[in-house]
Amino acid sequence: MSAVAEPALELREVRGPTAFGDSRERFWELLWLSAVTDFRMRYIDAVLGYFWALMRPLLTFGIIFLFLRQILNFGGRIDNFAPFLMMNIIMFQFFQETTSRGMRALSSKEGLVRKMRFPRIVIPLSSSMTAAFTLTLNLMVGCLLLLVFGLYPTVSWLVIPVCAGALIVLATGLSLFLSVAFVRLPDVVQIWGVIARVLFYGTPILYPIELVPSSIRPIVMANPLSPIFIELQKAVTDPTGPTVVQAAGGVWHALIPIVIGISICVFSVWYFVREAPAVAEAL
Amino acid sequence: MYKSYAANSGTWAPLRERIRQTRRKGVRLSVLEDISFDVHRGEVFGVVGPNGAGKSTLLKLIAGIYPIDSGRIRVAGRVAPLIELGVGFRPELPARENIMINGVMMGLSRAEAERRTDEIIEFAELEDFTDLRLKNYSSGMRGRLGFSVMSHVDADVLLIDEILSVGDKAFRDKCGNVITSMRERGRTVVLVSHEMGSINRHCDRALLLFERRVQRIGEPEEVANSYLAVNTRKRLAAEARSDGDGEAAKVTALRFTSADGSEPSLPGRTPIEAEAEIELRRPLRTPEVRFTILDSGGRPLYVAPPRPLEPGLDRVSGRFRISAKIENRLASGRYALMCRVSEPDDEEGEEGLRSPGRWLTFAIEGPDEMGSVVSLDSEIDVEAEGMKIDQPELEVG
Repeated sequence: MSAVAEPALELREVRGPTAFGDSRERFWELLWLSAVTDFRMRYIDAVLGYFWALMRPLLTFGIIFLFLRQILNFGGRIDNFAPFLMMNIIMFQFFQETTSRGMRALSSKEGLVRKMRFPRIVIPLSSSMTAAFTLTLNLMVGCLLLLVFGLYPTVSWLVIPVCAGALIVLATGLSLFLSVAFVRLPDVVQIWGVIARVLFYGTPILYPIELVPSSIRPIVMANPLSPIFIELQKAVTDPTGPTVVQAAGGVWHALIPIVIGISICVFSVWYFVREAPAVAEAL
Repeated sequence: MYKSYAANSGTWAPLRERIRQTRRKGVRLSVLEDISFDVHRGEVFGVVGPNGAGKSTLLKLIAGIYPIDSGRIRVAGRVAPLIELGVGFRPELPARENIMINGVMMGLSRAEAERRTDEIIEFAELEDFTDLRLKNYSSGMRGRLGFSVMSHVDADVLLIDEILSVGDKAFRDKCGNVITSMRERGRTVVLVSHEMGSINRHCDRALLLFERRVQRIGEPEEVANSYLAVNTRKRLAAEARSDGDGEAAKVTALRFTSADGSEPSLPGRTPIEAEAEIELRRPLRTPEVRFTILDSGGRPLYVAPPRPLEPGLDRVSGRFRISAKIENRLASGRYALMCRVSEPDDEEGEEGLRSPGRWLTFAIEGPDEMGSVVSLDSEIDVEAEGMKIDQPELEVG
C-alpha cells in the first residue's frame, strides 16, 4: 500500500438509491442529457424519424375527421371542427404516448437500474421530457396548419403553451406512478390501456363540451384532462365557447378536476419516491 | 449489515396472490447476514465465493444500487461501480456520445466528460472507430470502452465485478495495469471474482463470502485456500452424504514431506509424498486409510486404493502414522490432497463409519498446459499423402 498523501476523505453513509439522488446538479445534467439523447436517437438519427412522429397524430386526425364528418355527418355545426379536432388529437396523442412509454420506462432500462447508481426518477422524467420535445414540435406544425385552416394568430394563442404545460405535468405525474406500478404488477398495462381509452372518449376531444348533456357533464368535468381541452378550444378555435368555470357550472365545480389533477401528480411523486429505493430489486 | 430480497412467486402467480403480496411484505429471502469488514484506502480488496454467495449483491449495496435492510455502510469519496462492462451504452450512438452519457452516469460532470473524451478513446484504443455506432463494435471493443470510461472517472473507490474474466489477454492485462496504477495513486479497489488467479495477483487482502456470511478475511492466498476447501467440502459433502464422524476417528495431521506453507508448490512429474497421522478413538472394524486428489473445484481426480491400517485385524484403535507416495501426472494448476480413514462397507452394502477428510491444497508448478488436468507424454506424427498446396485463384490488393 503506497497511498499518496492526500487530504483525508470523510466517511459517509451509503444510503441506497433514491428518486432524486443527492446532488441537484447531477440530477439535472443526467435528466437533460438523457432526454436530449433519446430525442436525438428517436428522430434526428432515424430516417424520417420526426416525420412519423408528426404523421401519427395527423393521420389519426384525418381518419377520425373523415369518419365523423362524412359518414356520421357530425360536427357540421361546430365552429372550426377540423382544426379543433386536429389540435385535440395532437395533444391527446402526446398524453397517450407519454403515459404508455413512461409506464415501461423503468423496466426497459432494467440493466441501468440494476447496475448503476443514479437518481431513479431521471428515467421516467427523461422519457416524458423527450415526448414533450415532440409535442412542442408537433404543436408548432399544428399552428402552421391552423393558418391553412384560415385561423390567424391572436393573443389568445398564448394559452396553447399553458395548456400543453398542464398536459405535460399531468402526463408526467401519471408516468411516474405507472412506471413503478408496472414493475410491481405487470397487469397495469392492460388496466391503463382501458383507462386511456375511456379518457379519450370521456374528454372533450372529439366533441366540444357544450354538446355533453348536463346529466353526465359532472362526470366529464371531473376528468382532469377536460379543463385543458376546454381552454384550448376557447383559445384557438372557438372564442365564443364556454370557459372552464362556465362548463363546470361554477368556480367550485371547476376546481374539482384541477384538484384531482394536482392530487394525482402529488400522489405519483410521493409513490415514486417511496418505491424508488427498492425498484431495482423488483425488476 | 443485513440484506434480503422479496421472494416473489413468479410472474404467473394469480393476480389476487400478487396483490396480496404487494400489500403485505411477503416472504423475504436472506442474501447477506451479519457482514462486517473494513477496506482501507489504497487497498485492492478481493471478494470471492461460489455462485449465489452474495458477492454481486454486496457490491451493489456498497455502490448504493440496492438499499440495505439494516446496518450501515460507509464510504469515503466517490464510488464508481463497474458491475458490467458497457451498462447503459446506447448501441445506436457513436463512442463520443456514449462516453458522455456513461461518464455522467458514473459521476463526472458534462464538462469533465467532454474534456476526457479523447483520453478515454485513446486508452480504449478506439481512435479509428469514433464515428462508428456502438452496435457495430465488437463486444471486446465495447468492453474496452466501458472499462476505459470507468478508469477515467476519478473515483476514489472502484467496485469491479467479474470483468477481468472477459475479453482477450491484452484486455485483461490492461485491466490489471489499471488496478495497479489505481493502487499506486491511493485509490481503493474492491474486486469480485471467482477466479483465484486474479485475486492472488491483484489483491492485498480478500474476503470469502459463503452461505450469506463472511467466512474469512485475510491474505488472498489464505482466502483462496479457504475458498477451495469450502468448495471442496460442499461438493464432497453431497457426494459422501455425511461429512464423517470426528468423535470416532480423525486424521490429526496431513503434510507434504517435501514442502510446507499454506499452499505449497510441488514440482510437476515428481511423486507427491505426504505424511498423515490418524487417531482412532473407538475401535473400528478393519479400518483403512484413503488418499484422494481433487481438482480446485472439489472433483476427485484420483482415488488411491484403500490401504488397511492393520490388514486382517478387526476392532482396531490407537494412533497411526501414514506415509504415502503417489505418482504425479498432474498438469500445472491447483489441487487438493485429502486423507480420511473409514470402515469398509459391510456385506449388506451398509456404509461404514468414516472420519472427516483432512485437506491440503497445493499447486503444481510448470507452464500453462491449456487447461489440462493430467500431464502425459505424447508423440504425434504427421505423414503427408498426396499433399497439395492450395493456390489462390483470386487475389485482391
